[in-house]
Parts: sequence; structure tokens; C-alpha cells
Amino acid sequence: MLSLVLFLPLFGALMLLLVDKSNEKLIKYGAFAVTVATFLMSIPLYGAYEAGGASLFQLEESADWIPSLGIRYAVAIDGISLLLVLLVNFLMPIVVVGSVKSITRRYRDFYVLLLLLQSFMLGAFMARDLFLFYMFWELMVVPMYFIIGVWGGKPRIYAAMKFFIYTLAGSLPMLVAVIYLFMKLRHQAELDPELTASYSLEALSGLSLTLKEQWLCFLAFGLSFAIKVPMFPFHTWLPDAHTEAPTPGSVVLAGVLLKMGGYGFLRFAIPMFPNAVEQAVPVIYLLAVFGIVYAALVALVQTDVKRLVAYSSVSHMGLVVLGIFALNIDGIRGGVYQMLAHGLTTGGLFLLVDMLYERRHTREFSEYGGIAKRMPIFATFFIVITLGSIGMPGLNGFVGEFLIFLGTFRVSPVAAIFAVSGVILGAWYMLATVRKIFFGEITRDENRNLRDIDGREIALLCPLVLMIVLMGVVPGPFIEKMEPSVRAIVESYQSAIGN
Amino acid sequence: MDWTDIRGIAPLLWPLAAALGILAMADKRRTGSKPMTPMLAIVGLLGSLFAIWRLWPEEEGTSLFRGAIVLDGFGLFLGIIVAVCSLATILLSIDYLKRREKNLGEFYVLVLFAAIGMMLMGMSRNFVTILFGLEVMSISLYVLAGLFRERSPSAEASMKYFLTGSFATGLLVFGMGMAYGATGSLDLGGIGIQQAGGNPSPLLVLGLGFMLAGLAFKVAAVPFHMWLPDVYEGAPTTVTGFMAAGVKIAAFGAIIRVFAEVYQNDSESLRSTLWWMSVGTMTIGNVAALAQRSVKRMLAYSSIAHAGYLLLAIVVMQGRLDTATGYLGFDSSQSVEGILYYLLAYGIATVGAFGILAYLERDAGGGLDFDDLAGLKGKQPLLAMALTVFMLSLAGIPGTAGFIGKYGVFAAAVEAAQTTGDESFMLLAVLGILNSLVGLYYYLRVPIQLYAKDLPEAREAEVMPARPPAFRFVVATSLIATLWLGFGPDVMNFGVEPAMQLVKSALESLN
Repeated sequence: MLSLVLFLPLFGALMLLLVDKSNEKLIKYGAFAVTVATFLMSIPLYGAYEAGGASLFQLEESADWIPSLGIRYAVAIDGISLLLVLLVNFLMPIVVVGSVKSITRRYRDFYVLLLLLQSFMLGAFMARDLFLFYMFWELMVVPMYFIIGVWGGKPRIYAAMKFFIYTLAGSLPMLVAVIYLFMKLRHQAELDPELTASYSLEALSGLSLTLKEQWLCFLAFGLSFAIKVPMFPFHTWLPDAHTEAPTPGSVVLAGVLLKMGGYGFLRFAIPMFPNAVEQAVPVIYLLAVFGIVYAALVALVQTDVKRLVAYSSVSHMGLVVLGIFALNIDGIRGGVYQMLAHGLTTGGLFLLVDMLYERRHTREFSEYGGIAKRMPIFATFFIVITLGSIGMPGLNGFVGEFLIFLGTFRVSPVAAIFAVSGVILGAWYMLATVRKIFFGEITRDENRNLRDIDGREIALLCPLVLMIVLMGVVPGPFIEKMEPSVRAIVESYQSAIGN
Repeated sequence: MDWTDIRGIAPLLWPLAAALGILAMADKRRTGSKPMTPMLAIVGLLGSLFAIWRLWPEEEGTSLFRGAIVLDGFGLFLGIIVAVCSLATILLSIDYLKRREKNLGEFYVLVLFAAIGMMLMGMSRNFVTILFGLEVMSISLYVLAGLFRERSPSAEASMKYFLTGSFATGLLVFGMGMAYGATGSLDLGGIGIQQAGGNPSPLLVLGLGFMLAGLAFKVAAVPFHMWLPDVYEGAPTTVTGFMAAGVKIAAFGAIIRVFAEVYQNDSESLRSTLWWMSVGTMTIGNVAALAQRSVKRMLAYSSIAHAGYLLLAIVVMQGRLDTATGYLGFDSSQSVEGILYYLLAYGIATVGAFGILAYLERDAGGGLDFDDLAGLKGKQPLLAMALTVFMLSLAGIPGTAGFIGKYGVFAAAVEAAQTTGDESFMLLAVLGILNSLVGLYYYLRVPIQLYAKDLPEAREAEVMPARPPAFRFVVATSLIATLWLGFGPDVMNFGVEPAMQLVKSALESLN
């Protein structure tokens, strides 16, 4: 079942390649149908995964791939992967519908790349073989690079190049570390007949590494994840990439790609290098807190709405890192929850900004003002999603942030206090944005005749808002699924550092 | 010499027969070639592949011609890559040469001779045969580089290649002479037996150093790389692809043979020389490639960088040789395997990429600037895709053959670092990785031009030359092969076997 979900978009992409490229309708409906089908097929995964079942990782499927190197095709999901897979598949149909207007040329290529990207992202969340994970991890960058480079704004080539080089600068050292771990296992397997040399994550997690090895590998893996998150000071690629990317690209980037970093820390860095993590926590905390506040301050002075949302992303992802590295159950639960919430709200915000942009072809605040009068439905959606993003109780952002602060406070009250100030700043700049765009008098003549959003746009925002409210009101079903995995991560960490 | 010997060199005899046939058919009065000529050359190379296929399963490790040539999986594997690359070169060149009214019969003869020389170098186990193979290859290539002799860059390329190449051969022969003086043997296996366990004489180490310099000239390793950019740029483009792929295959085959068998004892000076050579080669190749405006020249410099990555695996192969239990410590084949896969991936992508450049360029061998590729996606979508995939493969992005090759080479370094505890090997792997990051930048400039830039208006109406079936076939096959090898069929097993065979035959020669 997992493989089916994983390869359906890939298959869809190949099918789209066969469609005549002038057949716009078929391509768009085809891409939409593939993403919807993938989503529908991934819903049963939620039921099929039993939280607290016999094994943490379920629905496993595996086959030999390159046996002479010990590389296997192995996929399985635990609660965290499950939720992230659902997030990807939930967002994708929305992205396709959202891109119908904004992608005006070469749409076949665009949807092919988008579907490829979906498969690669799913693969990275499902992989249980380190080599397979690495393949997907790097492959993911390629379609995104083309999406930014071909369909982006004016300095798109610069942004695409920066994105590619930055992310690969992270993942190439990771490759060395991946090989190192494998060779280490192979070395041990030669002495111990019970071990076999493979890239399987279970086997690699069982390696006993010296503190120095742990540190070097943690740096190699961590750099890659930190760039993806992105953590201060590795965040500089993000505002450029977001601003220049076409909106669907921004939605995927913010909604899913950034989550890869947090996921990587949880799945690889913490379980495999616990002792190094223990020593690194203060530095990570410092960077995370600094990033939260710094990005919020930078967001305050932005004049471009999209750039503002991009910086708010950096700030929010800082919270995720904070929660994860609290290394207690509340913190990690909060981190994962915040990843999901952030994917929905930020994705939604990018879509909303794009709707404005389509109408007025500018993203400067000063061009707007008072448009709530002309676009009441749009304003309502915008305000709800903004409130979700700043963590209003009853909406999804609140649950994540609350859990993160709960977890952080136990570890370091000072960090929690600083992080809360970041959230307050967040509320400030987001609400100021809302005020500047929607309220007051209409100052520009162009804004007097703006039309409100149409049926398609409402249809694409509705599921988002629904989920934002649902996740805010009944977080139980989501937290329940990730609970055993979170517990396992915390327990293995605690036992490794000797408490 | 008996029947087994003849049968064993059948992969060389097929192209030889084809070449002689073409020469016999040649007609002085005609300026172009007969349609039969390329056909005959193709048959010769297919025959060579067929012969390799026949020899593959049973006859491994046999010594032919009293040990001058050895029939093992290693040499045959290199032979396959050489034959495939030559075949692709010929198919690509037919149309390329016709358009430039240079479709001469000699061209095919020279490509066949060069291929014979390359194959022979991979199969040799004797200084004289190595030298013979090298000269057959080099002399053919000197002429091929100057095929467009009316153009001064091409004539310059030929002359430059000839002068530096002869100098390199001189160094090689000098080194071989010293090795002979030190050991009294020209046979790699024979020297290997003599050296087992003892300290190498300084004369032998010096000889090896000279031989290394000679071979390094051929693969253009720093500091012997100066000739390469001009030669690659001046040579006809399909020939450039052939040189980049074929010479590397042959020269690295010889380097592995010499170093695996003769160089068994620790010589710190030689190893650190190789270490610096590898680092210098990748760094200088990559950095210089960054600054190029011409795509052909960029690929020329990047070919230097690739030689650096391959040398990296040689450094650590040697490391395993001397640090474990001396000569017999060569028990794991990670680096040989990595090199073989790398050469395969590199050969396919390089020949394919140069083939596309040859098709796209407007004047003979004049090369192509990055700007000339702008927006080509609109005019030639499939070619643009193929060129992009070749670039990604050369850059080593997962999903392409180049990634698995690069993986193999770096894995060899990491493994050596782990088994020997020598941290300089780890440092080498890290430097290699950082270098491939630099490489990424210039390789990506190609897809950016193809996809993200718009076609200049002046070129919209331009009619592209027809794409002949042979050209389409080669591009499509290389594209499929690059992707297929990248998604990892278990070709590694295929690579392990020949490499292990090399070890086995080395061991047998000791007993």
C-alpha cells in the first residue's frame, strides 16, 4: 500500500508526459486527478496504522535493490511519518488547484515536476533505508530547482542556484557520513557474524559510535537538516527562494520541504547520535531562540507580503527546532504538531498572497489598504488563517506552540521566555499586515474595483481552513498517532545519555 | 603462440580486421568515404563486443603471449566501455563529418586503431604491451585531433597534443627503463613476485614515479594538465568526447595494473605525491571550469576534475595495499569497483554530451558558448532533456549513473580511512565532496540556459539541422543507460567480479 501511494504521483508524471502539451485541460485535470487519488489512497493509512501496535514501524514493504552494497528498497511508516505523509498528500491537490491561474506557460512540464516532487517527498518520509532516504532527499531538490528557475520571478536564476547550492552544500557532507556509518557497520559485521552490512536504519541505529564519531556525523547530518529547516544562520536562501518561486512552489517549499529538516533531526540525528546531541543542545537552543526573535524582527520591517511570510516561516520553524530539542515528550509532540500546523497555515498564506498578486500584480503593502470592503470573503479567510498562524487558541497553531512552550519551559525557562517574545512579535507583524491590507480607507483607485475571490479560490481555501479549525479543536486524533513514536525517541535518547 | 592466444585477443582482432578492410577499400580519387566505411567500422566494434561476450564467462585469468596480455574480467570490462564509447563516437560522427565535408575513411580507421590501443592497455600485463597500446592510441588521436587541419585551432590542438604526448611517452619509457634496471623484468607479475615482502629499491620507486608522470600526462592530472583545454577545444567535438572518455579508461586501466601489481610496498613519498596530485587535479579542474564561457572548454576542465576523483580512488587503493598485510592486504575491491563504475558512467555521459554539442555547434569544432544554449528547450525539447541528464550525471546527482560512480569512489576513500585509521584518506573524501559541490555550479549552468532562459528572437526562425537516426539512437541509448545505471541495477556485481579477478590473478602470479 505504501509503495502504491509513493509511486502513484511518479506514474502520473510519466503519464502526463505522454499527453500532448497543448492539451491544457487534460493536463490540469489529469494532475488534479492524480493528486486527489493519491490523497484518497493515503487516507486508509491513517486507519491502518495502529498507534501502540506491536512495532513502531508498520506497513513495511521491502525488496532487494542493490544487494552487493546492502542497499534495500524499504519503506514503512510510524506515527510521525504517517502525519507528514498525510500533510503532503493533503496539500498537493490544493497546490494543483492553486496553480491553475498562476502557471501560465509550460504547464505540462510544471505538473510533471510537481508530481515528481510529491513522490520524492513521500519517499523521504517513508524510507527505512538510509541510502534510499538519501536518494530521495537529494532528488527532491532537482524538481524544486527547476520550478523556481523556470517559473519564478525576475531574479529566479539567482534564487534557484542559491537554493540548489545551499541545500547540496548541506547534503554532500551528509553523504560522507552516510557512507561512513555503512562502512563502520560493515567493519563490525566482519567481526560479528550476527550483523549484516546494510543501510537499514534499525541496524545503523544499533551502531556504537565513539563520541568523536558521533560529533562528526552529527555535524554532517545536522548541517543538512539545519539548512533545510532553515535554522539561523543558514536561513538566507529561504527568503530569496520563497520570493522568487511561483506560488505553488512556495506552498510546497513552506508546507513540506522545510519539514524535512525537522523530520531529519527526529528520525536520524537524535536517535543515532544522542551523546553528541546532548552536548550540542545548548548551541542549538541559542541559535533557535536567536533565529525566532531575529526572523520576527526582520519580518516586522518587510514591505513585501511574500517576504514577510517567508521570514515568519523562519521564525516558526525555529519554534519547531526548539520543541524537538527540548527532548521531552511535550516538546517533541509540539514540534511535530507545529510542523503540521505551519504547513497548513503558511501554505494557506502563500496562496492568499498569490490571489492578491494575481489581481494587482504587486505585493507591496503600500499598494493596498481598506480592501476588506471590496473583498469581504477574502478578508475573512485571510484573517482566519493569520490567526491560525499566530497561535490563536482554538486554531491549530495554538496547540503546537503551547506544547512546545510546555516542553521548553521544563528544560530552559529563559529560552521559553525569549521564544514567547518571538511569538508576540509574530502576532504583531501579522496583525499589522492584516490591518494595513484590509482596513482603513481605500487609498488607491485601482483597489476600488477589486473583485472578490471566486468559487475555485473558495473551494481551495475551504479544506485548509477546515483542517486549521479541526486541528485546533480536536488535536487528540493527531497526537494519539504520534505518541508512541515520540515516546520511543525520548526513551532511547534518555537511555543513551544514561538517565 | 597458439590458438588460445589468438582467441584471447579476438576483441582486438575484430576492429583490426575492420580497419584493414577500410584501408583496402580506400580509393585515392574520392574525397569522401564510401557508405560502407562506417558500416564496416561498426561491424568491427560489434564483433569486438561479441568476442568479449564469448570470452567472458570461462576464460578468466588466463595469461596470453607468455604473460604479456592477461585475460581477466578487469580488462574485458574496460574493453566493453571502450568498445561502447567508440561505437557511439562513430555513430555520432557520420553526420557531423558529412556536414563539414570531412567524411573521410581515415577517420574511422583511426578511431578503430585508437580503440585497439585503449583495449590493449587495459589488458596488458607487461611494460612493452602497455607502451605499445599507449602509442597506438596516442598516435591515432594526434591525427584525429587535427582532422579539421584547415582551422588553426584544430591544427594547433594536434601539434600541441603531439608534442606534449611524445614528451609524456618519453617519461613513461624512461620510467619503464628504470624499473627494468632495478628488477631485470618487464613483466608486471614478474616484478611483483620479486618485490613481495622486500623493500623496493629506490630505482624502482623512481621509475614508478616517472611512469606515473607519463600516465598522468595522458589523463591530464595536475601539474601535467596544461595541454588539455586547448586540445579538447580544438579537436573535432565528437573526437573530444572520444578522447575524454577513452583515454581516461585506458590510462586508468594501466595505472591500476601497474600500481596494484608492482607497487606493493609502502612508499610514503609516492603516496603523498598521489594524494596531492588528486587534490590538485580536482581543485584546479573545477575552479578553472567555473570561469569558462565555452561549454566545450568547461567540459574540458571538468574532465580534469574527473581525473582527480578517479585518482582519489587510486590513492586509497594503494593505501589498502600497503597498510594491511603488505601486498596481500589488497582484499577488498571497493576502489577498483568504484573506478570501473565511475568510468562507465563518465564515458556514457561524456560521449553523449559531446555528441549533442557537436550537433548543436554551427562551425566546425568552433565550440559553443553558454549563451548559445539559451532557450533551446523550446526548439529541441528531447535534446535539452538529454543534455540536462548528462550534466546531472557528471555532477553526480542521485538518480543518474554518475551518482553511483561517485559514491563508489568516495566509499573507497571512507572505507580505507576506516580500515587503516589514516585520517588523510577521510580528508581526501571530504575534499572530493566539496569539489563536487563546486562542480555542481558549472554543470547547472547548462540546464539553466536550456530551460530558464528564453530563446533569443534572432534564433527563433533558425532551422536546426536534421537529426539523423544514428544520432538519435546514440543520444537515446546513453540517456536510458544513464538513468538505468543510476537507479541501480546490480551492475556492481558485474564490477566486483572483474576486480576480484585482478586480485586473484595477482595472487596466483605470486605462487
